[in-house]
Order: sequence, then C-alpha cells, then structure tokens
Amino acid sequence: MSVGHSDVADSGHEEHAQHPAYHGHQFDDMAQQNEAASLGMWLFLLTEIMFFGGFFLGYSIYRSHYYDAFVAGSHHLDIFWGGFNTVVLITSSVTMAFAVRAAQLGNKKHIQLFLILTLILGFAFLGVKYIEYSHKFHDHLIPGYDFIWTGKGNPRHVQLFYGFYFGMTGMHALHMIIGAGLLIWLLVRVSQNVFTTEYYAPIENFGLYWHFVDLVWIFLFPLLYLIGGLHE
Amino acid sequence: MAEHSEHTQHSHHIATPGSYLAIFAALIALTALTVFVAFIDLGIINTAVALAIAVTKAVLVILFFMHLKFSPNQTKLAMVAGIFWLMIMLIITAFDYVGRGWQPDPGGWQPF
Repeated sequence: MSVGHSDVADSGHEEHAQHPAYHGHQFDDMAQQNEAASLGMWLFLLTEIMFFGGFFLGYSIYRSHYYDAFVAGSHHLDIFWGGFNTVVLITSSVTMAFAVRAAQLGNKKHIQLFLILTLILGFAFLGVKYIEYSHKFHDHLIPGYDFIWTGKGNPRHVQLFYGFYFGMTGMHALHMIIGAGLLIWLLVRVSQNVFTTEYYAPIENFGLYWHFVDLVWIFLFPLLYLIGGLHE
Repeated sequence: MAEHSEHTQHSHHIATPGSYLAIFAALIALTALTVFVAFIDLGIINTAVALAIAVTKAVLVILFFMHLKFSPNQTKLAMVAGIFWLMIMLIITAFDYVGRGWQPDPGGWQPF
C-alpha cells in the first residue's frame, strides 16, 4: 500500500497521489499550505496589534492629560535596564531570524543552536523584568496595592502611569512567557526530526510571533522609559 | 525524502547572514540614537523623534526579519490594512478628546 515514504498516512490514500503527513488534504500543494499558514499568523498578529493598540491609545490619552505626572513616573524607571532589555530582544530577533534561515537550509544543528540562543535571551529579558518589578515592589509603586508617592506630580496621576507601566510591560512579559513555552515545544519537535526544508512553517510562523513581541517592546521602551528627557 | 520534487515549495527568498547582521547593527544604532536624543531637550519634538525612530525600527523588523518584503502581495496588503485600522482607532479617538474643549488639567496638558 504505502510504498516509499514511511511518513505517509495510510487511510484512504489509495485514490490519490501519496503525500507526506504534514501536507493537509485541503491544500493543493505545500506552497499553498505554507502561504495559508503564514497569512493565518499575520492575521493573528494584526489582532495583537489592535490589542496592544488599545493599551497605547489609553496611554496616549492619559499622557497628554497628565504629562507632568507621567514624566515623574517615567523618571523613576531604570533606563539602563530598559535599554538593556531592548538590546536583548533585538538580539533575540536576530537569533530567531537565523533559526528560520537554518530551517530553510535544513540544518538541524543550527536550528537547535539558534532556537536555544533565542530562548536564553528571552529568559534574560524576563529576569530583568523580575529585577525591575521587585524594585518597584520595594519602592511602593504597585498601583492599588500599597502605592505611595512623595515625589513630583499628583500621586493619583502617577499611580495611573504605573498602572499603564505594569499593564503594558506585564502583558508583554506574558507574551514572552508564552513564546518561551512555544520555543521549548519547537525544540522538542526539531529533536524529533519533524521538520524538513519543505515543511518548517511552525518555526517560521513562530518567528513572526517572536518578532512581533520584539516590535511591541520597541515602542514600549521610548514611550515608558524616555518621557521628558533628563532625570533631575 | 529524496523523492520529493527538487525545487523548494516556497518561492522563498533565503536571506544572507550578512543582511541580518546589517539590520541588527542598524537596530542597535537606532536604539542608541533614541536614548541619546531623549536626553536633549527639544520640547515637543522629542516625542515625534522618538516615535519616528521607533517606526523606522519597526519597518526594518517587519520588512526583513519578518520577510514581509519577500512575502506575497496578499500578506503585504493584510499588514497595510491592519496598520490602517490601528490608525483609525488612534487618530479618531484623539480627535474626540481634543475636540471636547475640556479645561487643561492641573497636571499640565501637552498635546503629546
């Protein structure tokens, strides 16, 4: 019955040409399948743009209304860690791009190397977030918990700034955590030799997701950490 | 596996390592520029510059890391449509708030 390929699903394949298991029946060929998968991920990312867009919208309204308080709140953030994390994420996007390239070339060792590098950089980012958040906790800057503000600006407005800070960076960090989980899953599948030069769409489309998470941070960093210039 | 057709199933552009590293260098340079400019007081221009740099970085990531430049036109159209939708949300909501004629807040009102 199934001659040649060991990875061909058996059921009902007598009537048409055999094809690998990763080729879904609803697609004429792999080119169409890959295009559809890619477009699907892009469309999901568009919903994510609208999702984070809502956050940015709220932020922009309140920043324009309570500018001094937002400046005061922003000055208390650590630009070093914010900048460090920006470089970490940009680097992780490069390693992820190299991972996809390795998949295109069918180089399993390189796929694993670059996926692991991406994962390590992702963990580095999350580690820094933990450092920053624990500083905020010690400085009584958790909105609605034990928020105390004795510096410049109306404390209620500054608390609003920190609401946006934790909401936006927290939601971003959640996306990073999910990404880290998916990276581990991808690494398992790579080790199982699931991917070929014809079928690597999960790696490519995860790359799109990972780049998107980087994009969100590219906007978060200047808008949260760099408001109002020099710290006094 | 060798029985599959010889040509790759994507009309896929495989980027060179050099191109990725060049984009990486540009992104790092733009990040440094963002921080540097933030410390120069340009008033209202600061925000515009910060956003312009962020958008430039975003364009580089989207076109080259996410391969949109080498993607089918349908995908490019989807992205353009998404950005358009985002702009509707941001701009028309801004119109709403600006057009309310509220008194400026004690905390100091800045257009952006």
